[in-house]
Amino acid sequence: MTKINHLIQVEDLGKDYQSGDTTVNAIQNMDFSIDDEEFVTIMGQSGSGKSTLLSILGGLNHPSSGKIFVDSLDLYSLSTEQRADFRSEYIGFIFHSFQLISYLTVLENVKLPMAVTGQKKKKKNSMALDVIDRMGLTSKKDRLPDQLSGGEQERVAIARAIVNKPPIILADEPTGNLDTHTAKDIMGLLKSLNQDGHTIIMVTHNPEMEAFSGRTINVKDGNLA
Amino acid sequence: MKGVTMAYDPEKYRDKREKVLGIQSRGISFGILSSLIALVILFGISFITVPGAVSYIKTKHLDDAIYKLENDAAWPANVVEQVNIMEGVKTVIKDKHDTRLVITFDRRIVQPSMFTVVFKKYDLTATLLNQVNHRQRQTTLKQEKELEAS
Repeated sequence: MTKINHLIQVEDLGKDYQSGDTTVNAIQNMDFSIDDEEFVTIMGQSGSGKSTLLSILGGLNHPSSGKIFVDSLDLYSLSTEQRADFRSEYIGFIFHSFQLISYLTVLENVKLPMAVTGQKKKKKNSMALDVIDRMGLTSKKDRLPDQLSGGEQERVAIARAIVNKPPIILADEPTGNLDTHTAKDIMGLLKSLNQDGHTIIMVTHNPEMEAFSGRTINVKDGNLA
Repeated sequence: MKGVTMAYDPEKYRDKREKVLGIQSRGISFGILSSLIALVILFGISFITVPGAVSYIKTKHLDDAIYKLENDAAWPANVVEQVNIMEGVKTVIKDKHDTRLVITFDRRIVQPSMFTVVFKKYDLTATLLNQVNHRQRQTTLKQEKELEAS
């Protein structure tokens, strides 16, 4: 039986894709661990497998081989329903394209992850307003995403990711669509979330952003570099 | 960043882990909620129907016999007492002028003819004015009371 010593423990992870007649080995024999309250950057060139790795860590993409333990849970031995509960309880996702719902207001977008939590409407509203306030968007809570700047949209995406108070935040190129100044601003925000106790795993190919994290995992051609 | 990462503490996220594994409930499930509602409805219905049913079972064998003495004489207390201790007699009530005697009895055990025997023993000539089902008489009395009130 595997001894679990870390919040996230990845063992002999592999992921193959079938592309026509060819098998693509997106990830091969990866072993690493991430501790509670760490801020880890996963770096690598486009196509190196870093986003695939992030989606596997988030319980969204079944690996071809190996195991991932998050808080002692063998992630891919859980049922589909349990894995959905896992994502709801443990993970906050931040995507590089924000993935906000265009016809919902800021407040409604932030409340989305709470739709299945079974909390009372009043409580949901108060939790969403709290994180919106923390992101400095209170005056814009009733606006639609396209009425916001890129940086503001990113803040909404972060608010949505943390509204359920997940211990782990997975960010896929969170600053990819932002200018340098706004990007640093957002990184400062992620750093403050880390200081509050969130474990942050951020995928980026921008070396400037690496400086905000405590450790870097380099990925090259599906392997740890 | 805090600079120092936390060693893994399995207790820290125990609640979350138990929710994922289904050890801890995520609130009241639909099944439990619908069962609770069904229980409340059943309890409500039984609260309304059970006392009536119990009362019916308890009183369905009871009849009321109403007697009057000659010349509207008052019923002697010792006679009333004598009837009251007869087997099968539930209650014996005199009306407000003491002239009518209402005997509630279990018709499976005792019959009005047996009351007549007692009355004769005390040289009383009583007339049986009516013998009616106890529940039916109670209903009639209730209706009369409501009519008087209105």
